[in-house]
Amino acid sequence: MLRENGVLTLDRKRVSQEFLDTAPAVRGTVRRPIEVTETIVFPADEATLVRQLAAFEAEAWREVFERYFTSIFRLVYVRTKQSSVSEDIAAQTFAEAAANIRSYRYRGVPFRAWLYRIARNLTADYLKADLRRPRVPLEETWLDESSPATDAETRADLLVAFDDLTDDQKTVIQLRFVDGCSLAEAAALMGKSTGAVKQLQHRALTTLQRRMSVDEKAAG
Amino acid sequence: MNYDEALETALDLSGDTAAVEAFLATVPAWRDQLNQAVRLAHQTGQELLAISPAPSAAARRQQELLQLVRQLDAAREPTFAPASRGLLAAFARPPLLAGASLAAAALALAFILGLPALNGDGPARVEAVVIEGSVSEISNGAVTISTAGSAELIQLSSDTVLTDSFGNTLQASSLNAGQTVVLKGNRSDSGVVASAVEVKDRLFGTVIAMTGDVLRLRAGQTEHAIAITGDTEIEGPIRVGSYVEVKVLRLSDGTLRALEIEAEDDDSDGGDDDRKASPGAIPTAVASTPGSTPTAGGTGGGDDDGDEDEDGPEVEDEHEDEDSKGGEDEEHQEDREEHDEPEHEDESED
Repeated sequence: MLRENGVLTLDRKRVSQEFLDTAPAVRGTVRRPIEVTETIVFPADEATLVRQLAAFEAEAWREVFERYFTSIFRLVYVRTKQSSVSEDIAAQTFAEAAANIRSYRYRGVPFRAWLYRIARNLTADYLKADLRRPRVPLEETWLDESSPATDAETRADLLVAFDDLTDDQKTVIQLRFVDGCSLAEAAALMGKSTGAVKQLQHRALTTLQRRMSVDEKAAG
Repeated sequence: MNYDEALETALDLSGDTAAVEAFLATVPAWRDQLNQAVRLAHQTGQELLAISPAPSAAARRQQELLQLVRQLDAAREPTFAPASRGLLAAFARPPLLAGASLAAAALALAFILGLPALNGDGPARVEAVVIEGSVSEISNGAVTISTAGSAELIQLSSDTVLTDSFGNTLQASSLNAGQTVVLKGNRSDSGVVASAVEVKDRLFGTVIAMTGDVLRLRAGQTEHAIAITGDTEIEGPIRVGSYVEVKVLRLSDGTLRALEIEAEDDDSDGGDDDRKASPGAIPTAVASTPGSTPTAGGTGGGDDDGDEDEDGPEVEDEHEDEDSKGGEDEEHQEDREEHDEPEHEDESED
């Protein structure tokens, strides 16, 4: 988790996340004429993990795979809507990471962010090559019919509404409400500023609310 | 507390129904809307949680990965370049010689890396710092940065990397008084040396005049004239005297164009959200009901996801853009950057 070691205090609204991401060793306070509003914690053990991965230590790769494979599968699935394809892309993500790990430089950005980027690129590649395939509504391809959301009709509406979100909005929803990331953590993983992630979340929830309200009115 | 802050608090509590209820009772004006948002977030999360690969498939993929890792390990190039092999060889010598070689190697490394602790002067105190402020003076390879209540002289070196908010490299001559910068560097007894400086495309200051399509802003001792266009997005009531943040585009002729203007001294619009006034006009007061529902999705005009920092140098992405909303195919419209190259750059400070 991000909140284990080492503290970097920063102003989430004003300081470029990317800029701070290039300062992994920084333990200081951003000084500026407005209040410090958020604390982000970068994992001190992540650098060790990356070193182990670069040394091709099997245990490290096993751990990373177990931590993130499902999450990456999920990330891909909401875009491709195909289980086998998502599995392939998620696996390929780790293979690409392994192939390039020797030149990876840990700079304070969570390693998972790199995996996510690779997965996103592979997914984009796949979707580009797959343009002619007819689009399938998400609710028709959902993997688990017994998921815990209320009734079937509400669930179907929710999935339709979710399918309407942009990919970034879907990713934010996943990171925040499935993976339990804070805004700052989601921002670090997506390579965006906290403000941008907050807006994506706001829009996603607004879209869901609007769509669900429309559906409820239509049903009423 | 504005709506966004209330929403964040409610979302943070969303696993605890009683806590959510208790919190919502403290914000009756937004209670229903917040309640719906939290419920939807929770439900959506639960639905997403149901997505997972088949366990057998995951196990098989893991074994394939571990096999690949073993192959890569067996096939990898020697770690050290030829020039470094002398150091490696030193450690392989008999113990007596190895001790001397180890010290020599450590000193050599200290020299290469510039580690002060091994220079013979005792450990020097070096503190990594990140400072944001405005440039107040530039002279002889140094800039003076004004922060809250103080000013600090920052040394630039030939290794100092200057970038704009989009990651584009800038020349040192691009630095101007009045610019907001964030710099990263090391503070030692001899002062701060910047390793990287990011010139922000944002100005903070007080509106001193609004005439026609020009907003005049006072930032510290500097006044800026900023052009307002039909694409300028404006948040909150902007009046003469308002303290505002302006995201600007610096044109080739040196003039400034406002991309976004946000009132800093009015929280009633909900902070960072996308409740904006109509582009191009400076309203005397923008009604912004907390929790009002904005139109979802951008129209492709501005940078209304507020993210000027997307393209980090260390990784490349597919350039998905919230604003390029073109329905479900947005990712198809974007050119994908190479991802099979190592997605990072070396930084000397690393």
